[in-house]
Formats: sequence, structure tokens, C-alpha cells
Amino acid sequence: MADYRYLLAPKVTLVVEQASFWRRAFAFIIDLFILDIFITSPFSSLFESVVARTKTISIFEMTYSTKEIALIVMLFLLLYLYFVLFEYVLQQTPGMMFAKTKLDGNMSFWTTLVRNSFLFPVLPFILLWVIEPIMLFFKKRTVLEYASGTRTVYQREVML
Amino acid sequence: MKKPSIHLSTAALQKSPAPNTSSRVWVSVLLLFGFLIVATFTAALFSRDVDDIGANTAIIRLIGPIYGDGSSGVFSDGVVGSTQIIELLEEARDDDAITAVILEINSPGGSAVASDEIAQAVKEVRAQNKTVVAWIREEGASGAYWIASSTDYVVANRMSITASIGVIGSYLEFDEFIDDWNVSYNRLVAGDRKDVGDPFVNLNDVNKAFIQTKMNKVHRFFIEEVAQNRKLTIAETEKIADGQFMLGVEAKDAGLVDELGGKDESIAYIEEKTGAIVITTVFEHETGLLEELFGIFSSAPQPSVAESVKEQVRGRLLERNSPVPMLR
Repeated sequence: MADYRYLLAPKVTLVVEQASFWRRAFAFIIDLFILDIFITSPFSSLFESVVARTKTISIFEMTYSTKEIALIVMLFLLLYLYFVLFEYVLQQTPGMMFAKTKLDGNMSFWTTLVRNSFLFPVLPFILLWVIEPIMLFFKKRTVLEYASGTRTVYQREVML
Repeated sequence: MKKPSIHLSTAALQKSPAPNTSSRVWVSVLLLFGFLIVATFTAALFSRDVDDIGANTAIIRLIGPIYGDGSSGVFSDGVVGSTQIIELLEEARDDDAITAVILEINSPGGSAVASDEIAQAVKEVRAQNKTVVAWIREEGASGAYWIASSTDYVVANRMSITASIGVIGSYLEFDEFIDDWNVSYNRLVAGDRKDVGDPFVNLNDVNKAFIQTKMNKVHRFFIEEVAQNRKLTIAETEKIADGQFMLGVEAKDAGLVDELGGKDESIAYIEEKTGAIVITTVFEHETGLLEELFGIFSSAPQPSVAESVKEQVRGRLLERNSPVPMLR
């Protein structure tokens, strides 16, 4: 006799939708906390004297020695690698895991490099620090996501 | 009505079986610890130069007699080589992060030329709108004072030995000594004054006067330089330029020192002038890795203390045995 009990079992469907601004902001904040612990904290003592100088002079008016510039470049490189490697290997960063979001699209190493180029602290990438949140808020997709042909999605299981 | 942007499958999600949650967590932990190790290692590499990070004021030490070029290092034999000090001053001049320099002076003076060279290098640093302060500790006399006077501000301890604006040139004469020992000294000279200052030739009054004119000229340069640097008149400077050394407190009364004090007063002056918190770093002659390695593994026997002292005395006698004008 055929067993038809499986017809009574709940069906689970994976629903994938574009992640909202607030969900992505939450993921980014979690990532910043993780970055602070695992990447920037070893550098904190090195930047103490730089921070001390900012009490008397604007950070934009400050002059930096070659060693300071090298240190800043190294730090940004590590931050960049954090996002690139996690997105390439797992299609999501730890913050995105908490926020239940992940990347969607034709993922390759180059697309992850393009997606995260907003982290470069130089022009014209620095303009993206203003543009990307605005794009995200209104379009749910950043300029670099359009450029790399990727998107960030929120996925949840729905019982039908 | 807003169209919901929902779809049920995507290429990326279907491309390969996604790692399950447990695997993702483990991969994440591994990656994070990898980053922690790399970040710690990188920070440790930079921390070797931690004194330089964020520093805006260079401390350059002038410890010991001042000479020009020579086999002795900047600090290794307790002498100041003008070549090395000038290199450090140029480094400070060209470093955009450095806005001020403190010259830590503990020197009795030395070669007139070497002192002048360093003083000129100090002026080049000042020409880049960088503040230079002389901090005189136990001694900052003669040639060392020449250098100190070329800075923006001179700070000295009240008991420091300073000033000594004069010129000295001395040597031992052996002409009677070799006569007594029945030693003949053959010399072939073309030019009446070629052997002036030769320790085996008697210095007659004519040649003594000849050397004295050179000394007076160097003394005149010294006086003019101090007068210009300290904004004194030549007449005022001449009054105190009899070669006498002064205590810091006397030098302040004479207008040769701006403030009595030490490092703190030097830093306070720079902070007041530049409006920035001073973070210091010591600029010193760096030994290369190979030099250090060869120093460690060198099989050459090191001279004993007695031999070192003997060498220093011999060097000092040779130095004394020259009529070259010295500012000491």
C-alpha cells in the first residue's frame, strides 16, 4: 500500500528577496565590531600618537610621515581583504550571517574586488561613502553592485 | 502598489551546494584567526618604529667633541661627526611629519668648520618653517654654542657650561727634545711658511703672529655669527667673546641663552610656538643589518679598555699637535 503521508508534511520553500537598507546596515555594524576585535585592535597602540595629534589639528590638515602612510595603507588593505575573502569564499561576511543576508549573482574573485572597492580611502572611491548609502536606501542596490552584476539578498524559509 | 522584489531561486544559490551552517562557522573562525595573526604580525613589524609613528619633533643628540668626517661614528666613540649630524638634520628637514627639532647638546665644542657646517644645516631646517631648539645640558661651549646660537631658542641648565666664544690652536713642540736626544730632523721645504706648525721646528715670533692672524679671523667669524644669531651688536658680543666660559644663569643675563631649564622647557616652547602637542622621536645614525651582523659575528679581537684609552690619548695628542683652530 502506497504511503501518502509525505503529502501531509509541511513544504518548505526558500524565499529570496533583496535585503533592505536596515538589514544591510545591521550586518555592516556587526562586521565593524568584528573588524575592531580581529584587525584594528592590534594597531590601536600604533595610532595613539596620531590620535593625540588630532586634538590640536584637523585630521585633514595633518601631515603624515612615510611610515604612517604605510601603516594606514596596510590597515585599509586588511579591511579590504576581510570583505573580499569572506564574500569570495562564503558569499557572505560574518555580519551578513547574523543578518541572514548573502550575495547573489555571478560571483568571482574579480566581482568581489569590484564590490568592495568603496573601501579605498582615495578619490573617486571616497565619493562612494556618500553615494552608496543613498543608493542603498532608495534602490536597495549599490553602484558597485550594479557594476559587478551582484546583489545582496535576504533569504528565509517559508512553510507552505 | 509597490511590486515586491521576491524571487525563489537564483543562479548563485543553485550553482553549487552551499556549505552548511556548521562548515560556514568553522571557515569563518579560521579566516578570522588568520586575519588576527596577519594583523598582529603587521602591527608588530611597525611597532619596531613605534617611536616614529605620530612623532612631530625630532631629537638630535650632539654628545662629545665636534669633528668633521672621520672614522669615528656619530656616537660610538663619544664624538660628534658633522657629516652624520647634517644627514640627520636633512632627514628632519625633509620629513613632512616633523615640525620641530630639539638639539640635545652636551659638547665642549670642536672643529670650527664642523661647527659652522652644522650651524648652516640648522638654518636650512629653520628655512622650512620648522622650529629648532637647542637644549644645552652639562656643556654647550665654544663650537657647540655656535651651533646652539643658530637655533630659534636656547634652553640651558642654570649650571651648564656655555659661551666660551674664543678660538684655540695648540700643539707640542719637540725641536729641543730631539736636540737633547741627538736626533736630527731632515726637512725639505719649498715656501717659507710651509712648515709652520711643524712640531719639530721652533715657532718663531713671525710665524706665531702669522698663526695668530688666522685665529683672529676665525674668532671674528665666530663673533659675527653669534651677534647675528642672537640679535646682538658686534660691540655687545665682543665684550663677552674673550673666551670665558659662562654658567647657564650668567649666559642668560648676557643674552646668550633664552631660558633656563631642560627638555620640558624646550618642549613647552615648541608647543607654544606651533600650537601642537609635541611627540618626540630620537633621530640617530642607524646601523645597517649587515653592519650589525658583522659586528656580532666579527672574529676580530676587541681592544681592551687600556688599549682603547691609549688610542684615545694618542688621538688627542695628535689633535693637539696641530695648529688648526679649534673652538673648544
